[in-house]
Amino acid sequence: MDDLEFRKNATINPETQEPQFLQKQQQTSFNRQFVQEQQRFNQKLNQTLNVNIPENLAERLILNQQLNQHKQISHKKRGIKRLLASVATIFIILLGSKLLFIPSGLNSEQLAQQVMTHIYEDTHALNVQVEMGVPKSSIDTMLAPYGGKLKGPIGNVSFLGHCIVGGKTGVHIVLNTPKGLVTIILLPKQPINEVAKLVDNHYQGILYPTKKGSIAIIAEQSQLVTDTQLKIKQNLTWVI
Amino acid sequence: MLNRTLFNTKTIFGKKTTKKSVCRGVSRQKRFETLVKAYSGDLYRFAYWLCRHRSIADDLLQETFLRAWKAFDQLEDEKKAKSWLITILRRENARRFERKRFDLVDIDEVAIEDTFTPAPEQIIENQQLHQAIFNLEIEYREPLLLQTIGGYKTSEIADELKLNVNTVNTRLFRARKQLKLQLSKELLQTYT
Repeated sequence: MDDLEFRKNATINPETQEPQFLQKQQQTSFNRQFVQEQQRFNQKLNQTLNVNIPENLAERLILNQQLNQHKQISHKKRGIKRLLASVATIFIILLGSKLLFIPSGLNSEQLAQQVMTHIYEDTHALNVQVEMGVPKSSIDTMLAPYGGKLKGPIGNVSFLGHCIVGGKTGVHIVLNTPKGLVTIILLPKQPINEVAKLVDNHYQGILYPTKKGSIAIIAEQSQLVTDTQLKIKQNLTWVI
Repeated sequence: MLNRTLFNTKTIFGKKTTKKSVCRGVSRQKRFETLVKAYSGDLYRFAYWLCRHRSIADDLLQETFLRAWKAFDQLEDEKKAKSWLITILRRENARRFERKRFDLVDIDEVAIEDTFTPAPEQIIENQQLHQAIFNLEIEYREPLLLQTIGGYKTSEIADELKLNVNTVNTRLFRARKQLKLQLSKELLQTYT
């Protein structure tokens, strides 16, 4: 190590303990003095650099970290809640859609099955006993929202009411004829493409497409069904 | 590889770096708190001399430790924690400058730290040295801070600043020379 290198090293780092440096330091009094001067300066430098730190610095840093962490957790929780709420909303919408709209895609057979189920479930309609029968005006009032109107009488109506078949509303009419009860279900919101027969051990019937939606006629005898279909054809009109 | 227990600079700051790494069994939070308590002082000083502003140094430190917390699992060897934190702090400082330029206080108006209270002439000398450090260009100031406050060896400074060792040695040499020169000029003005 030459003098120049020694002086450079002493300036850069006077505290170095490298053997070559220490050896060179001891060679002359000038070298020793030079290193001592550099060490004194180094001490002053360190004293100056050692500025006071703010009070409770570490505590503030930890607090800030914890608050930030808490904020992030809350944010995540809010995010999860929002996500769950969104999923729930979508689920409810889909469920609602399924309940309300899927039946609209029923074909004739499926709708016929729904009609039969309704007949068996709504026993009240067939058990109503009336002396005078439901006036034609009431039937017109009931049909008006759907755009239906009777041109003439279709028989003695013993029951008139709204019903829900296949998820959509319709008009439930029961005719009390001398040969037996006939159920007519007008389904203006349930269009079908073809006729379906309704047959089981008790009932015979038909489900057929009309100008507006479809109509089901069910009775214990097939003749009653045919006669009623004819009356409907002659008297019921749809204003679309 | 940095080894904070072996320095060629035995500074008051360097001694702090010899603290034992915390027990691995302790919770993440406890380990982090130990880290904060051990290194926040030196890191604050490093930040202060880097940005030359107390409140910015404070903000810088908050950001540094938040980032350190998020990336805490990446710290495999806690003996390297100090250099890891300094690297984060330097990056945060660079980011802050990318975001916006700070309206730095004129360094002539900065109150000089009164760390020690010995003789009046020594106080004056400290104040003048303080100012001289502030006046150093960043390319000289930063290696000096890494050496003195960070306790880095020359080769480690070279790694951190992505410079070669000779350049680091030159910058350290010039930094100290400039400080001495400025100090002697100031002292000459003071006592004449």
